[in-house]
Amino acid sequence: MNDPFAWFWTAMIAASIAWYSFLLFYLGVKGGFEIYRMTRVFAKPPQPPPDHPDAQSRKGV
Amino acid sequence: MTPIDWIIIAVYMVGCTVAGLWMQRYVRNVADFAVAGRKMEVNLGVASLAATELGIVTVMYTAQAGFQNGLTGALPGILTAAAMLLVGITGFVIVPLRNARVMTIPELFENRFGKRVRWLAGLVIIIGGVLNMGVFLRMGGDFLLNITGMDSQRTFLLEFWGWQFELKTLELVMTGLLGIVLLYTVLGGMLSVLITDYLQFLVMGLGIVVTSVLVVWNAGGTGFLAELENTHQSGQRYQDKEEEPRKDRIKKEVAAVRKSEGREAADALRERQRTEYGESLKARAKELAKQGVLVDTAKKEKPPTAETMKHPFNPVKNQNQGIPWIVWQALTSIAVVTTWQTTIARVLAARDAHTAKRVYRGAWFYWVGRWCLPGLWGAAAFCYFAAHGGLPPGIGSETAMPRFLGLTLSSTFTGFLGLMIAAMLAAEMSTDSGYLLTWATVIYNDLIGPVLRRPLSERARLLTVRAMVLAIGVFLVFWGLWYKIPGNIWEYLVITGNIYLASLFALLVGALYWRGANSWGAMAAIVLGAAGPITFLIVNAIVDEDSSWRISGELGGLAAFGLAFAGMIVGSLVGRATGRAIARPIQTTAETEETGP
Repeated sequence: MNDPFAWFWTAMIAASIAWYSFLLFYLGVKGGFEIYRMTRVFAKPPQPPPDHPDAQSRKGV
Repeated sequence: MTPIDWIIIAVYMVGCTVAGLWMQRYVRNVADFAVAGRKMEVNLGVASLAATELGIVTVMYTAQAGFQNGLTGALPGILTAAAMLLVGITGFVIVPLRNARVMTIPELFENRFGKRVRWLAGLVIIIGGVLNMGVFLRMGGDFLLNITGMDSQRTFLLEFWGWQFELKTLELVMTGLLGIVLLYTVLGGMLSVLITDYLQFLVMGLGIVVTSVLVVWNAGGTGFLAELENTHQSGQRYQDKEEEPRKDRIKKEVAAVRKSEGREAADALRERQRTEYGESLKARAKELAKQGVLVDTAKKEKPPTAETMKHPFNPVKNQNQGIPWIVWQALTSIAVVTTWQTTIARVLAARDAHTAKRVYRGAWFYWVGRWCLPGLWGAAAFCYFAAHGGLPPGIGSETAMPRFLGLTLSSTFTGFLGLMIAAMLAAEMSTDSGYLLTWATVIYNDLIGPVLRRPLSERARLLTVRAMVLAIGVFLVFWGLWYKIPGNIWEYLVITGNIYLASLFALLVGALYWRGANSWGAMAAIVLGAAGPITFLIVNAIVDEDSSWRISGELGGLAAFGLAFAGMIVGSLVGRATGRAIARPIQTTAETEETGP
C-alpha cells in the first residue's frame, strides 16, 4: 500500500484514538474541578449592583 | 443483553438525570438558564462543546460517509478541525461576538442593523436549526434498535385518560429518552446541560475509544488498508462494466419512448426498469457481495439499489466528492465554527473572549476523531458485509454500521453492549439537550422578545424559555419520528443547516468587519442565502432522481454562500445610496471599558 493518502488517514485515526484517550483523563479531572468551582460561585447569594445601598454599606464595613 | 449491560445503562441514566436535576437549584434568571451566568471555564467548555456536537446522528452520518466513501468520507472533519484551529488562533468572529455580551447571534444584529434584521435572522435560524434537528430522534432510534437487534415492528398499546396510543419500539424508546432530556433541560437550562454534557462526554469518549480499538483489531490493523483498496477496485469494475452501460442504455430507451409515446410512458418504463433491476440485484446479492457490491434493501417503498465503495483515500478521485464539493465543505466548515448557534452558545457562555478562543484551540482536533472514528466503523462495516454474503435484509448504508457492531463486537467482552449503548445514549442526550436549549433561547430572545411592548418580568421570561424548550421537544417527537429523510443524512443536514449558515455567515462577517454593511444588505443576505438551499430542497423533491434538472448538493450549497455575500454587498450599496438603511457601530465590552467612566 503506497498511497500517501492511505497513510494520512491511518495517522489521523491513530492520532484520534490517542487524543480521545488523553482528553478523557485530562478533561475528566480538570472539568470536574471546574464544575466544583462553578457550583460554589452559584451557591453564593447574588451580589447587589455596585450602586445598591447594600453594596455601599458592605464597602463601608 | 446481559444483566451487566443493563446495570451499566441504568447507572449511567440515573447518574445523568440526577446530576441534571440537581443543577436547577442554581437557576435564578434567564442569563443563568441560557448561558450559565457566563461562568463556564475552558475545560468544561471543551467537554460540553464536544459532547453537544457529537450525537448518535453524527455517528450515523459519519459512518454512512465511511461506508460509501471509505476513509476519505472523514474529510469534512479535517476541514472543520482546521477551521476551528484557525478561528481559535485568530479569534475571527468569536472575539467581537463574545465582547458584544449578547446571548444569541441575532441579538448582535439588532445592535448593528435594527430590530427587523434581528427578527428575520432569528426566524431563519429557527427554521434551519429545528428542521436540521428534526431527524436526530429517528437516527438515534435506528442506531439503538440495530445494535441491540430489537424488533422495530413490535407495538405497544398505551392508554391515557381513555385515549389509546399504539407506539412501535423506536417511537417508545426515543420518546422516553427525550422525556428525560426535557425534564432536566427545562428545569436546569445551560447549567444542567453543562454538567450532563461533562458526564456524557466521559461515557461517550470511553465507548468510542474502546469500539475503535476493537474495530481496528478485528479489521486486521494496517492490513485493512489493502482490503479497502481491493473492495473499492472490485466495486469500480462492476460500476464500469455493468452499472454505467445499463444507465446509458436506459437513458436512451427512456428518451426514445418519451419522444414517441410521451412523458407518462417514459416514466412508466423507467420505473419498470428500476423495479426489474432491483429484483435482479436482490436475487444476486451474495454473488455481487464478492465483487464489492452491496445490495441496499432499506427503503421498503423503493426497489433495492447497488452500493459500491468510492475511492477510499483520495477525495479528488472520489466520485461522490471532487474539488467543488471540497470547496463547499470548506466554506461550510468555516461558517459552522463561526455561526452554528449551538457551537457559538459555548463562546457566549465563556468567561471572556480569551476563554472562548482557548475552548476552540482545545477542541479543534476533536473534530478529526468525530469523523474519522465512526467513518472507520462504517468503512469496516462495508468490508465485513462484502466478505459475509452482503447486507442483511432491510439494512442499508445508514444502518449497516450499528448492525455490524452488534454482530461482530457484542460478544467481545461482557458489558461491551452496555457500554456502547450508554455511550450512544450519552451522545444523543447531550446533543438533544444542547440543541433544545439553544433553539429555545433564540425563539425567546429574537422572535418573542423584540415584539413585546413591555419587557417581561424575570420570572415570566424564564417561564417562556422553559415553555419553548418543551414546545420544541413536542415538535421533535412528531416531526422527528414520522419524517423519513429522502437521501444521504449528511447532505440533508448540511442543506437544512445552509438555510441559515450561508446567510448568517455573510451577515456576521459584514456586521463585524465591514463598515459599509447596513440593514438593506443584511436583509438581502438573509433572503438570498436561504433561497439557495430552499430551492434545492423543493426542486429535488419534485424532479425525478435521474432528471437533468436535479441540483447537486455542492451547487445548492455554493450558490447559497455566493448569493448571501452578493446580497450583503449589493444590498448595502443600494441602501447607502437611498440613505434609509440602518448601520450602527457595535458596542463591545472592550470599547465600554476603554471609553467608560
